[in-house]
Amino acid sequence: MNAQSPHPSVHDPAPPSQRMPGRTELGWLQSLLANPNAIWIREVRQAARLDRTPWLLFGITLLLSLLVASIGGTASSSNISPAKVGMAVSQVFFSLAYGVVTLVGPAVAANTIAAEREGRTWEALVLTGMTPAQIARGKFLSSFTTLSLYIAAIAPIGALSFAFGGTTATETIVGFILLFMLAALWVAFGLAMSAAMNSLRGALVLTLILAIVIGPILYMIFGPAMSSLAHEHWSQLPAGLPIWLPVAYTRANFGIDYLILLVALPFVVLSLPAWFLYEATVANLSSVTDDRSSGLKRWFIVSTCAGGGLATAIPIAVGGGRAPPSDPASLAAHTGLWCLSFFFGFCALLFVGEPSGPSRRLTTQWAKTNTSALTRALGPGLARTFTLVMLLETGAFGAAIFGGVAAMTAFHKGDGVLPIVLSGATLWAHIIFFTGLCAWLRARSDSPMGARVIALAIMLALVVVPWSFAAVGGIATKQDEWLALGATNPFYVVVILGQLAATSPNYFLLTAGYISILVFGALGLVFFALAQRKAHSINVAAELHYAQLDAALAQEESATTP
Amino acid sequence: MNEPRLPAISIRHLSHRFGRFDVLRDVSFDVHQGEIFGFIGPNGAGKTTTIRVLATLLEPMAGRVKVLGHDVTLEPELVRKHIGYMPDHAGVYDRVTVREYLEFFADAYKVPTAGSSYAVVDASMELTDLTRLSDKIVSTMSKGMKQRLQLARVLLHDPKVLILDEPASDLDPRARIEIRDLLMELRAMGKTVLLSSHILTELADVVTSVAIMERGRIIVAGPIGEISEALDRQRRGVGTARQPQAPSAASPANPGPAIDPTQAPAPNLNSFVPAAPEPERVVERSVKLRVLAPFERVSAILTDLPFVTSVRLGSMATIQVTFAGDDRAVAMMVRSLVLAELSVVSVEPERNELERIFLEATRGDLQ
Repeated sequence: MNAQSPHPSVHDPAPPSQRMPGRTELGWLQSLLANPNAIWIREVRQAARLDRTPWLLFGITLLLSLLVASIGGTASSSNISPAKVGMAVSQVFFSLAYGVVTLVGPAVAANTIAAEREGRTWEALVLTGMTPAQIARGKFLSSFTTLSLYIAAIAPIGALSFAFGGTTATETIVGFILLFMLAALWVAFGLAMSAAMNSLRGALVLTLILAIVIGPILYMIFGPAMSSLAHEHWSQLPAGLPIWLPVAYTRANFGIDYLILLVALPFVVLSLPAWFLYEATVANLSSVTDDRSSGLKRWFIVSTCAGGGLATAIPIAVGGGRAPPSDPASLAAHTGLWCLSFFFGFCALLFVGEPSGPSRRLTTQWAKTNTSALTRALGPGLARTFTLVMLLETGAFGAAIFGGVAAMTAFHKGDGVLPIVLSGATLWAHIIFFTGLCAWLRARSDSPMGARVIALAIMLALVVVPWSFAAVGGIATKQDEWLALGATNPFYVVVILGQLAATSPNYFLLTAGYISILVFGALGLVFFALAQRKAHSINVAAELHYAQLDAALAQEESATTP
Repeated sequence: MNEPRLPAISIRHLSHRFGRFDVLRDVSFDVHQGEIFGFIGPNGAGKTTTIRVLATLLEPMAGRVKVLGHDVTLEPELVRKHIGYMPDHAGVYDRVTVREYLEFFADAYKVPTAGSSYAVVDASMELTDLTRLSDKIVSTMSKGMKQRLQLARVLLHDPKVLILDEPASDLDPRARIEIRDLLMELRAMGKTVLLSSHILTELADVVTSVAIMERGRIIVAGPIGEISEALDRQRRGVGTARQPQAPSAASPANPGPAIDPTQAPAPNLNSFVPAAPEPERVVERSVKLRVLAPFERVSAILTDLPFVTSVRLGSMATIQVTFAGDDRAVAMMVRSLVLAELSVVSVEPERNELERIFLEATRGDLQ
């Protein structure tokens, strides 16, 4: 065409946009302002025309106002000091605001991508050439804008606490910044759920159920529970406050522990899950033959470095205090190792979604664009992915063990080093085993979900079955040696630590622990080698198939071309 | 010497399955540039699956599909720049006006616009006659108007190939006629249009070539005239020695209609054996005549003709004549009536060509 003139089409593609001149020359911020994401603009426009939005905003604001004002009024009529009332009002307000963010954020975001699919507008959107990342960003921005509107509407209620005192403007502002960060996290969660589902109703229901279950758990863990730990470290902080971080920023003593525990740790805890959810959304919006791996692997590398770094630094930052193993450094080192184990276990299951190798589409693109070896290494492929996972697992565990050992050496002259090393080695061996098992199951299975279920079932069996026999045998015979059966279980660490702390350790149980480290580590590597071999044979067969297909088509083409 | 033009769409040995169910089985055909290509078949024949592969929305399990020389599997981004795909029953966004809807897609496609002016949106609306509805909320529009809006959308980025899946389904007769006229206009602009439908009357007046699909296979593909001739030849039993090659259906090297040798439609189109010296079989056909004269008089004249087998009164004051012969017989009937000083208003085949081809080429089996 063109649509505007009746001249026949020419074969060249459409010229570059004149509306966005020199797009590549603009910085990302200028580009964002000059050419805002089309989905964002359209959805904000749609939201503005939704009649129920003002009523919802009004309703929520009114309810919160009445609740906070009644709590403030009741408290002020008692003998409690105004400062305490102000603090209570602030805590109630931010707790309720967290509730609003937890419910509204995922609900709004879950509505977006699934609605496009169910409303049959998704295909038209995909065919515009917008990338999955652009679509995900547009959806994120529109949902975040809507949620921000809710936060802005209820914000004045937060100022009620100033009428009583007990809280500062800085604390309130920091509280709001954290609220916006949590909002981003919940929106990212809703989007990831929405991207994984085709049914709008299913996405909404499942997202809300998970938000209702996870929200309060996170509130309790990162609220009162962490507040108590923070109080142990900084006694000037009140214990048991649900919204303690804004208070901690203004009242804790500044130092290396402040930077690590109050800046780096919250940043990592909030940003890395949000980043993961974003990458998962993009991967779920991409075709199976596209590169769904690079983004997730970038996240994995950064997360491992950050997690490994924190697991190394925190034991040193929190220092000694009591004798090991109940001193903060020792506890932090063990906690760090367990956190790394769960993180790597999750990542092993995540990367079970990897295909055996990059698709033909991707290898063609790589060849055309002269893609670097590093970019290719981050691309899809079972062998390269699990090699990376195993290397980073080993590195992170090594760093965490080093951090624990350094802290024990610095604060307790080396006392408590061996438990940390053995604990780290046991957990590392089980994680290597689990990772290798996941890789092997994936290489032999067409379905990632099937491989995940089998891997989890095997792990569960290794945890539960020998432990049950050990418990029954131990009770029946009153012999501790039965516990050695539980060496298949990563929680056998507890037995090892118990024996190390005992005045006369049972060397049979310790030896079983050492053997389990060697066996599980070796088994993991064997599974990994088998997976690599299987993936290689699959890739070779696919290449051969495509080569034969190409040859047949070329032969046919040459036969039919005059 | 001019280089042969690339086919707009080239499909070779396309196969796909959902679970254990083969939806596409070795589908091959070409669509040449500037054609309006009818993709016909009963519901469940595999039309939409083929179209989704063409639109880069589904990756085929086997075969090669190219749009203007670009492989849909290997270069989907390039293919998307060249195609405009209008799915069957596409949805629209709530709470946006026609203009906003098209501006959104213009931005998404990154089509050239000058400042805040969307000339291409205006042009698309004008072409599809939506200008007067530019401020209407799209969700409140009729189905016909929504189809027009979809067409306006797929034209925004100036695609060379339009892939329209059942564009006139659920439309009222007026909207169908309007869509048909619009397709003719688009063809005049040089667009290649692949149009899928199971409503033959919808396609009859606009398509230049067709592919008939049944049970995941292409039964016949090529220009309508050539398919019709092939069927006539086959009916008469004087088939030529041409043995169709399934993979190169209607390819430049084999421009005739291609017939899948593995599919056995009724009548068997693959019985083109080397011409044997047997008497030519005469085919029986029907036409509808409108003549300004009493039925009895017309009947008397026509029954005198040796090739006419029956004359009866049809609907809407037409006379249905069954005869054994071809177009020469029709000409003789008209001549006889005119010589008898009767006024012949119209002569129409009982079925249009496309319907005839479809009925003869398919067995009517649904999957």
